[in-house]
Amino acid sequence: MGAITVIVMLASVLMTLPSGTPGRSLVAGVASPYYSQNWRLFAPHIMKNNVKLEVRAQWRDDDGALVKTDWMPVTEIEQRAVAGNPMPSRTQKLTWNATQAFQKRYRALESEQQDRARDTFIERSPDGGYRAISDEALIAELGENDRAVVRYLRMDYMLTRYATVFATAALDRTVERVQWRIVTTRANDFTHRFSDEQQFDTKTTVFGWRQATAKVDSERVAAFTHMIERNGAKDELRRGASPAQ
Amino acid sequence: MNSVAEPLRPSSLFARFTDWFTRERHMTRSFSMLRILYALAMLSILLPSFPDRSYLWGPASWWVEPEAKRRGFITHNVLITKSSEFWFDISYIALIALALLFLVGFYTRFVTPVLLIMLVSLQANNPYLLNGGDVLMRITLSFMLFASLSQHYSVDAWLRKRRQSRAVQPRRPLFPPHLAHALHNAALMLGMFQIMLVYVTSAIYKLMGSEWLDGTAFYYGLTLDAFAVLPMVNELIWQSSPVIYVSTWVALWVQLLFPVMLLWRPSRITAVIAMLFMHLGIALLLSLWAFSLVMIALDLLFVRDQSWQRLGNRFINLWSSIKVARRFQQFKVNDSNLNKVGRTEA
Repeated sequence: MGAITVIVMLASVLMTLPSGTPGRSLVAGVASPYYSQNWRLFAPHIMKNNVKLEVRAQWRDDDGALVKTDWMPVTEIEQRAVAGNPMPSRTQKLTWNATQAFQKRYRALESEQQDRARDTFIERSPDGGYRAISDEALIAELGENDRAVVRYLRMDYMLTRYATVFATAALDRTVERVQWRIVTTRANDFTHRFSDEQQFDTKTTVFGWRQATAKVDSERVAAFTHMIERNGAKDELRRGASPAQ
Repeated sequence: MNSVAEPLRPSSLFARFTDWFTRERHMTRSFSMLRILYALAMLSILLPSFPDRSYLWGPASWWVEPEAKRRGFITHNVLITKSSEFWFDISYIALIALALLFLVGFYTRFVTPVLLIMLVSLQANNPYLLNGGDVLMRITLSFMLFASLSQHYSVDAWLRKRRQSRAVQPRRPLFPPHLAHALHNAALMLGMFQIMLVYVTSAIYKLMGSEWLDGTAFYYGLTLDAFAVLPMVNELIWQSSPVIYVSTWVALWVQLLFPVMLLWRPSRITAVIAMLFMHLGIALLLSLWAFSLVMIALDLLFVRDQSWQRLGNRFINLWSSIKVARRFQQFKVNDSNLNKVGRTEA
C-alpha cells in the first residue's frame, strides 16, 4: 500500500519535470491522458495579451454575386458573459482557448508555410465554380512528412467548421465562404499603467478564405444562435450582415 | 543520548509510520469538507454553463472532434454523447444530480466512482475548456475513491447514527479495518503530495519569469479580459502598487515554501490561511471558482480533526453568546416597556 503510494508520488514528480528528463516520456505515456499534468500556472511568464477571434463570411445574393459581411467579434461576444457576473458560464473560455491553440500551431510553421496559411484555401473547380483545395493538395504545397503541417491543417479545418456554423447562426443564412483573423491587444506595462498613451499597437493576423464545407445541422446552428442571443449580440450581427460594401 | 536517538532509528520510524498508517483514518473532517467543496466546484461549472451546455460539450461542440478524439480518452463520446441532443441532456442532468448527491453525502461510496467517470467523460468532450482546476479535480478525485469522504457533515453520517441508535446490526465492512484505514491514509498522502507538487512546481516556473520576481505579475493578471469579472474593481486594485507587490510576492513565496511551512504549526496555519485568501481572491476577481475551490479543499487537508472541532466549538460558542446577548436585549426592551406602562398607570 505504502509502496504504491510512493510510486504514484514519484511518477507525478517525474511528469512535471522538463521534457528530456530520463524516464519522463515513459511515465507520461502510461499516465496520459487521465493523469497528465503540467503546473505552469501563469508561469514562467504571466499572460499579457488579450487574444480574440473574429470571423466574417460571404454568401451569394439573388443575382449570384458574392456579398461580404463585417468582421464579427466572436470571442468578445463570448466574453460578455463574464463582466459583472461573479460565476460566469464556461463560454468565455471556448474560442479564447481554441484560438490560442490555433496560434501555437500556426507559429510552429516556417515563415513560407505561414504565408501560404494566411492565403486562400479555395480554388476554381472544373465546372467553373469554386471548391475547397483538397487536404492532399495542401499538404503537397506546404510540405510532405511535416508533422507541423498536419497539426496546423487539422486545427485550421476545425476553425473552418466553427466559423461556418457561427456565421450561419449569426447571419441566419447559408454562407459559402468564411474567414477569420486573430486580434491581439495588450495593456500597458506596469510602469506605464496610468498613461493614456497605448504602449502596444493592436496586432491583427488575417487568415485566408475557406470554403464553408462543414455540415450545417439545424440543432448545431440553434445552439450557436442561443449563445449569441444570450450575450445580446443577435441584432448587431444581423445588422452587420446587410451588404456593407 | 541513546534515548534521544531511539525514536529516530529507522526501525522505530517505520513502526511509527505503520501505526499511523493503519490504526485509524486521519483528517476525516477535512475529507468531508473536501467532498462538499468539490461538489460546489463541479456545480459552479455545470449550473452557470447549463444554457450553453450543447455549445460547450454537446452536439454543437462537434467541431472540436478531430482534436478531442486524439486525446486518447476512452471515455470520450460514450457516456456523454454528442450525437443526440436528448441523450446528451439526460447525461448532463444526471451529472448535476450526482454532484448534488455528492454534496449532501448520500451513498457516497457508490456515487463517487460514477461521478468521477461522468466528470472525465464531460472533460473529454472538449479539450479547449479545461483548466488546471479541472485536471487537478480529475486526478485527486481518483485518489479520493479510496478515502472516506462522508464520515461527517453528510446524509450518510446521519443515516449511520440513526441505524446505531436503533441498534440495527451494522453492515459488515467491505475491507478489514486496517486495510480500509491504510487506503484512506494513502489517499490523504497522495492528496497532500499533489497539492504540494502543484505549488512547488508552479512556483519554480514562476521564478523563471521576471514579472513574478519584480512583483508585478498580479497587475497583468488583472488586465486580461477573459478573467475580468468586475473590470472597475480590477482597475481600482491595480492603482495601488503595494497591493500588487505584496500579493504577487506572497503568492510566489508561500507557494514555493509551502512544504517547509507545513512543518511548524504557526507557519502551517499562516501558509494555509494565505493560500485560502489567495484562492478566494482568484475566485472572486478572476472568476476561476472551480479551480479555487479545489485548491482550497486540498489546502484544508492539512487541518487536523481536533482543529476542526475546536473551530466548530468556537463557532457554537460565538453563536450561543450572540443568542444570549439577543435575549438580554429583549429583556431590556421588555424592561423599558414595563417602565412605560408604569408611567401611564401613574
